[in-house]
Amino acid sequence: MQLFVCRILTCGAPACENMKKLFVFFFIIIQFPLFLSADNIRVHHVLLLNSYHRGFKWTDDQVNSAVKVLTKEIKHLELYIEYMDTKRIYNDIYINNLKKIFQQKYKDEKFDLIITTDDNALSFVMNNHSSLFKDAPVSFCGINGYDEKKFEKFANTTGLIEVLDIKGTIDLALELFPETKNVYVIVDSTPTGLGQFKDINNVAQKHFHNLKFKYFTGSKYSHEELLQNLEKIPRNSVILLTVWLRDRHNIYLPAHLAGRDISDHAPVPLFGIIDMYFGHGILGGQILNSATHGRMAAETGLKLLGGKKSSELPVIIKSMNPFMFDYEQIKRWDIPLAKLPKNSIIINKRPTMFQKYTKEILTIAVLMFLLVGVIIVLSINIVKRLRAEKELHAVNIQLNEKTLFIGSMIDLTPDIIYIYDLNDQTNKFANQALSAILGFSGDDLQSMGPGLLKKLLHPDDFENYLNNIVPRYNNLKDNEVLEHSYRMLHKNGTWIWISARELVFQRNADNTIKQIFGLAQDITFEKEAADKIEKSLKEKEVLLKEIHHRVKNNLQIIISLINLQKYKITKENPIDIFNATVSRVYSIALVHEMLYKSSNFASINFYQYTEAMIHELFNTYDSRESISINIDIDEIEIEIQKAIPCGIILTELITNSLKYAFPGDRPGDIHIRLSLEGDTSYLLYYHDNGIGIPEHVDIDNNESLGLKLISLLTKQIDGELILERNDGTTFYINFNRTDSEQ
Amino acid sequence: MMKILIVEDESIIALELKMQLEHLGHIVSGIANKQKETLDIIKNNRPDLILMDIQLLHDEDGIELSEKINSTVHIPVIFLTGNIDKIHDDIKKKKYFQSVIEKPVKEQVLKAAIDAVVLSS
Repeated sequence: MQLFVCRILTCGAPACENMKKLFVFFFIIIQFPLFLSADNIRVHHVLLLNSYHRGFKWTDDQVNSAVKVLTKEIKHLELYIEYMDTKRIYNDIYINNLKKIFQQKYKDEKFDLIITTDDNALSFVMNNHSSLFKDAPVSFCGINGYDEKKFEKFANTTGLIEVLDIKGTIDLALELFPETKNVYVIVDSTPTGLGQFKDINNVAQKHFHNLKFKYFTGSKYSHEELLQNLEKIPRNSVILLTVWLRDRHNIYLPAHLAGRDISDHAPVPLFGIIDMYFGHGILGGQILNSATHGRMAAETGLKLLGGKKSSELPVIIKSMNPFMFDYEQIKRWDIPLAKLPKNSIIINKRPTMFQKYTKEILTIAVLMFLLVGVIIVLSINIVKRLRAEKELHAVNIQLNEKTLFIGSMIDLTPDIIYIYDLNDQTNKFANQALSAILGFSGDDLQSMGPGLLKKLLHPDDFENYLNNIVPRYNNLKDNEVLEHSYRMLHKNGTWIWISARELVFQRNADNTIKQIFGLAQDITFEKEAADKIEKSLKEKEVLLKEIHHRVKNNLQIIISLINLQKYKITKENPIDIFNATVSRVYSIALVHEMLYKSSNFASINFYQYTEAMIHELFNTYDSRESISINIDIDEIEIEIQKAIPCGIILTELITNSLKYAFPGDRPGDIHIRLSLEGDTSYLLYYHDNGIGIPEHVDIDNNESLGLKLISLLTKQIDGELILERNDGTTFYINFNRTDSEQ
Repeated sequence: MMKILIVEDESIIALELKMQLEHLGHIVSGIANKQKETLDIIKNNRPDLILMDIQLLHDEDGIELSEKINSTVHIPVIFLTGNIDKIHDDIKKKKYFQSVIEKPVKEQVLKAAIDAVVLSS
């Protein structure tokens, strides 16, 4: 708390203001109960007065156990411990001097409680109860001679009497050793020893008639004599060691040494009733225990402090002595622990290996456990590793199979599979299809170095590659397929059309593309086929337009032909007019029919046309067999532009002959010849041996529609017309093979 | 009565036009199917009106030809076409343009077109 205050005072910065307040607040809160209880602090002044000296085990045990209780139970204890040392010195002068010293020392002291150990201290307090100790309550212990009357005089005093439990101890000996017949009692002749001798004798006579009691007394035996005699003791005996402080030579025998000597020489177990020899050779007994006395005196004292009157706390005169055993002796006499009374105190119980080396054993156990754990973990690891290796092996086999599978697939694929590096512009991988499609091997491509594409791509496609494909690479997302086609040079110098599908294979750190993975297909055949189809389609489109135009044109011509007839119709000739019209329309229709059958839709075989036309006209005009037609036409193809005019001209010529040249039954010959004149023109020769066209008929300017058509159409095909009127009628029509230029 | 030149590469259609025009009481100054012939006829016997087929043979264009004719002289032109949908509106702004008649030509339509020329001249 002091520390907090200091901190609060030294914390002067404004920022600390709040913190300071907080601390002050807590300071007060915490201190508050203390302030309140300050008046209630009651310090208990307790005097622990001992008859004997410090270092005397009996006294030390009493003090230690009493102090333990007091310090534990009294919160504010002021404890005074005094040793009267009367074991060493005891006479009236000394006691008187002690009184003076106490008077001096504790003149102003008012004890709340006085605890005394053993007789002398209690006597000292009782003799000076009022004068020295201001009648403070007294709790005593370790008192030997209990005289009820004497104690009645002591006001405000209670405690417990030192009772030797002789009967209890002998009962215990009989319990543990039922065969026992003799009890050897070792007792010296000090006042204590004499008192005990008397007590034992009383107990023996009162309770144990069946046992023989024999006494080694300090007045008869020296220590050595005792030891010698002990060895002769029969086996069905026990020894009761009470007190053996002085032998017959009046030699003082320190308890711990004497006890050990006696135990070593005794052939039977040693029992005791006071704890002086306990731990020094005695097997056990119901032992007067100074620690128990100290503890109980302190506990009684606490009750007095708590306000109980001494009259409510009668003096305890029965034995409070616990069963106590020395484990070393238990083992020596081979006594099972189960046979010992309950709540027995066992000392020197040698710790088992486990108890003795708990830390070490636990440490080793933990280490072992860890070690086992490590071993298990390692074992598991090894098993796992073995399993993993096995799996790895299986995976490897699978992988090999897959690799083989993929390898085979790559090599068998008819398309080129490649990896191209955009950074250094070289090809990194190509399958066998490369040489199959382009003739080059992978090494060939390697040797071309960075200029690979410039050397292999068609110049037009390389430009397209630089301008359109390379920029698209930079925008290509993962898994996005880029498709493009180009021509590539075959090793034999021809161009191969390639269709490529490409994916990002690797990227650079800046996310631009490092390598592309591609699949290239030879589409030369498809490309050529497509070109062919496209060309054909274009031709067909042109042709279709042309035909449409022609059909429309020809229908217009037909309409015109019919309209031209309109002006010629008289009442006499409608059938003739109608037949002439049908023939003309047929001549046009025949051209179309033959064009349709031709291979190129662009020209007709004029021989076939002439034959078909003659057949039609003979039918129309019901011509006689006496008229014969001789056709002499080379294998000539007339192009569409001229086919219809030629067709109509031919029709008009034949019609003219059939209608007018052979009147009556006059037989006739018609000769038709078409021949190539030079390289550029045709000559149509038409002759009939009929009556001939009258001289007055002008072929260029007459009313006959038929002749008019012959004249006009000849002009239309840039032809020249010559009419001969010798021996019938002869027409020479000379016209260019193709359309003449203007 | 007008003197009319027919420029039409199909002689049969031209012949019918000629008969229609004559039936309507006009004089046909000539039938031409080529540029050179047309120009020759105009030079020797200048017509009052030209009936001009737009789609001539030999890749010749009746509009171009009309343009050429009217670059030196002014002769009104009535255009004939088999496909009236394909006529560009620009031609209607030409000074020499009179009208467009769809083929096959009906005599009444032809009459109305020529009457319009007569009225406007």
